[in-house]
Amino acid sequence: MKEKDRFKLDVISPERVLISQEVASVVLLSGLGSSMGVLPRHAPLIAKTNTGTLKIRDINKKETVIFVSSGFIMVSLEGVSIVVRSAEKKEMIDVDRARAAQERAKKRLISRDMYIDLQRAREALVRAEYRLKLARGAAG
Amino acid sequence: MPQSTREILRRIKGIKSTQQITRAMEMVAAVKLNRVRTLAENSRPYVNRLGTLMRIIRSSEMAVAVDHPVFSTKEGSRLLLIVITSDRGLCGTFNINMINSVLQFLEEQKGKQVSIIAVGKKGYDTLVRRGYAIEQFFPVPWGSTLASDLRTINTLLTEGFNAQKIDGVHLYYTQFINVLRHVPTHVKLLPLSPLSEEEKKHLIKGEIDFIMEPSFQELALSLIPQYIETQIYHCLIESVTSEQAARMVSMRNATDNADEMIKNLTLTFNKARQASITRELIDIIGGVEAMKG
Repeated sequence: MKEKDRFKLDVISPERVLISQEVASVVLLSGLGSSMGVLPRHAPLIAKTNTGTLKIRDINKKETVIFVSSGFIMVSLEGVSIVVRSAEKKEMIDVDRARAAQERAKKRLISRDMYIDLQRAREALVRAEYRLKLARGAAG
Repeated sequence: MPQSTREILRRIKGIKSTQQITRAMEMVAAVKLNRVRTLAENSRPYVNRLGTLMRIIRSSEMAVAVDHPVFSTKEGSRLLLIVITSDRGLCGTFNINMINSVLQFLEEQKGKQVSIIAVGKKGYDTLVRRGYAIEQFFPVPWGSTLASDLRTINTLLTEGFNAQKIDGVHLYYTQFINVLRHVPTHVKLLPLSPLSEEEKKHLIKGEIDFIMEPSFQELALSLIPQYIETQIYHCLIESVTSEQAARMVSMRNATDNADEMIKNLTLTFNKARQASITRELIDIIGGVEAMKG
């Protein structure tokens, strides 16, 4: 593969640099039917991203799917950075925790308690569901 | 004098038990230091990258155009000051240095209305004793309380700022340079004034003409809270790292001092014991001589 057919991808969360490698393309799939793909030589861009999954195709055309929460993407001449609160590979997802978070968020959304931050509960639910979806995909 | 030798023995014993405590504290601090240092190192790329994003936003022409208080270039007279110290003492000059810098800052800002958020019990106690009103106090957030406390502090200052109750947010924390050097450091969190032409030159290479999605304003308004929270988190971690390093070093000094004292006291003890033996011998020999004579 030629030099211009690849770019550097960094996926960074406060806990770790999850991915830092040369890739051929990356696609972010997130809710509301929105998705976004980046190929080599993309124009410089900064965008807000939603919770979803990231499909990465490396230079050997091997695909990996990872979970990313909401954050930001920056495309520059130096490469692509995806800066998010949390990012996990399939095998890193804590299924029990995600399931518990899903239950908790659901309960909060249906409760009538006015002190509950609905926006946060909604986001938590979306995160849990994406995590579970990706983890289940791993099981087959 | 058996009285004085017993006294010396008692002191040696006392110092030895103190030394045991200081040695244990040194080791605990060393373990904690290691843990928090890995935490700091793992989060550094994230902190840096968000900083880059923020600088790009601040260098955009839109930052000047939107006329939002966040991007104001001047600062009014109502300030919010966040002071990060530690909850516990026995860490050398860590808290004293911080308090001195803060007092100096407060002196410089005389005439302005400064409300203070104290993170860490030591700083809170000292500032209250000096007669400063503290708006809110948090113990140093750690583990399970970290995320929620950060969010509380963040909402507190962004809401105050957006409601135009405060015009500027400053933070004091102790920067960790190495195990022996920690420096009280001042950062200005808000407003995020647009970068000058000079500052723009040090931005990432290539063009700075980025497409912003969904829009500059929406992007900026969702980036800012996350940026501020990350900044506070970063400062907090630096401060805790410095605290543990300071404690480790001062406890090591205490242990070494105890060693020195024990050495001197043992010497004194041996001399005193020798003196009392000599005295007894003189007594006995004197008695024998007297009986002979």
